[in-house]
Amino acid sequence: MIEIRNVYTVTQVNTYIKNMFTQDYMLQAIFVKGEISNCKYHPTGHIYFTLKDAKGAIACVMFAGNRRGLSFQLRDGQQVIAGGTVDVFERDGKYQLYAKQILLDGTGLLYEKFEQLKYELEEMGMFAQEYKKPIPKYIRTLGVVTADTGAAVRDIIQIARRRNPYLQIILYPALVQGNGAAESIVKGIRALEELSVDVMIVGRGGGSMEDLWAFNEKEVAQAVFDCSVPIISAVGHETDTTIIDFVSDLRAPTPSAAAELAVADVRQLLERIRGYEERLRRLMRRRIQQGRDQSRQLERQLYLLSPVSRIRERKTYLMQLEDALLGGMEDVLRRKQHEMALYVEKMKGLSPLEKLSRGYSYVENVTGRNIRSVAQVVCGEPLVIRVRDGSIDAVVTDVRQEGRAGGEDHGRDPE
Amino acid sequence: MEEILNEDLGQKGDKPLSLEENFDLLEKVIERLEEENISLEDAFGAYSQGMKLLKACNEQIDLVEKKVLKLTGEGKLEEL
Repeated sequence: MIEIRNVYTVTQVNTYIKNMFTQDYMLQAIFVKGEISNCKYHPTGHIYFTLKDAKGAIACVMFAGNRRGLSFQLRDGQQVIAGGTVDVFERDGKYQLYAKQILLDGTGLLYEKFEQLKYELEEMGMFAQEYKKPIPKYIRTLGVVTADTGAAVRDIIQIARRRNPYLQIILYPALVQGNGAAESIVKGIRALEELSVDVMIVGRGGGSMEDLWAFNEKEVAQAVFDCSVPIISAVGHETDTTIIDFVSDLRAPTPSAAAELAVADVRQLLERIRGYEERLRRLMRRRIQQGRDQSRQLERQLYLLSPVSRIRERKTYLMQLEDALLGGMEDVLRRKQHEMALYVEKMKGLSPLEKLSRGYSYVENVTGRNIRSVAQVVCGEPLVIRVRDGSIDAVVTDVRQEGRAGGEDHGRDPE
Repeated sequence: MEEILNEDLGQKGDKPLSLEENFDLLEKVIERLEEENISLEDAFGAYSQGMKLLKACNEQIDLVEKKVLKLTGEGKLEEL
C-alpha cells in the first residue's frame, strides 16, 4: 500500500508535467525524423498527423499559422523531418510535436549537409563579425548577382532606382538553381568585383531548399568571403536561411530589402547638401557683414582723428567764438542804447521847452540873453517872449522893482 | 583649420573622398565658419573650401539618370 500523503488534481499534474517540458531546452527546438501516418487536413487549416518509425509514434500537429513551413502536400507514407516543439496537451494528458517546419527527408539530407557546412565554416571563422565589411551609406554603383528574370531582379532594380535614379546598376545574370548554379554565382561575384562596384547584392527569390541550394555551396560561401566588395545576401524569403547569409557582410531578409539596405534615398542626400550650402552661404554673408561693420567703424574713427577733421573742428570753434564775440558786442550796444533812451527821458523832464508847454514863458533880449531881473532891461528895449508854440516880439513899457530880488527861478541855473 | 586646408580637397591619395567623408569635412568647415573670432581671410578660405566640397558631393552623386547595365558572358556591358 502506498501511504497517502498529498493528493493532486489531474490539472495540477498536467500543469506540472507541461512545465517540465517547456523548461527543457531541447524540446523547445527539435527536429524529428519519421514516416507520416494518420494525416488529416482539418477545415480550420490545422494539420494533424502521426510520425512513426519501427518502434514508436508521436502525435503531431501543424497549426494553420505555421503552414508557411510546409511547401508540399503532406501524405501518409512520406519520410519527413519535422521541426518544432514538443509540448503537453493538457486536456488529453498527451504530449505531441507542434511542428513549425516540415521537410521531405531528401531535404533532410540537404539539411544535414547544411548543418555540417555551417559548422565547418563557423569553425574556420568565416562568420566572424570582424571580417564583415561595413556597407557604405552612399554608393554610386551597385552590382547584382541574380537571375535576369523573375521577381528578385525586378524588385531590386525597381526599388534601387526609385531611391536613387542616378545609381549605376550592373547586373550579372547568374544561374541561381540547378547544375552549374554555384559556379555561375561565383563567376558573377568575381566579375562584378573586377568592375569595382561599391556594393553587391547576391541572391534570388524564394523556393524550396533544393532550389536555394546553390547558396549553400562551399565555393559560393568562399567567393562571398573572399570578395573585397561588401556583399549583401538576399536569398528567398525572410524564413529562408542559407550559408551565404552567414558569410555575407549583411543579410537582407528579401531581395527588396537588400535594395533598400544598399541604396540610400538620394532625395535626402540632396536635401542635406542643399542644407550645407545654405549654411555656408549664410555664415559667409554674416562674416562679410561683420567685416563691413568693422571697417565702417574704423573709418569713422580714422576720420575723427584725421587732420582735416581737426581743422574743421577748430574752424567750428573759431566760428563759435566769433559768434559769441559779435553777440556780446551787440548786447553792449543794445544796453548802451537803452541807457541812452533812459537819459533822454530824464533830459526831457529837465528841458525848458517842457516848462513852456506847461504855461511858462521864456524871455530874452535881442542878443538872446535871458532876462532874469528888472535890472537887465530898460524902457523901450525890445524883447522876445518864447512860448510853447512860438515867440512873441514885445517892447518894455515899464520897469518895476519889487521887494524880493531874485525869486524862485533865480536858484535854478539852466543847464 | 590648417589640417583641413592642407588636405588635398576631395582626394585621398588617388581615391576621391566618399560622400560621407565629404560630409564630415563640410561639418568641420561649417564649424570653423561659425567661430566668432575667425579672421575674414580664414572665413573666405573656409567658404571656398566648403564650396569645393559641395561640388565634390554633387559630382559624387552625378545627377544623371543611369540605365541598368548587364554584364554579358563575354565580359561586355550592355543595356538591359
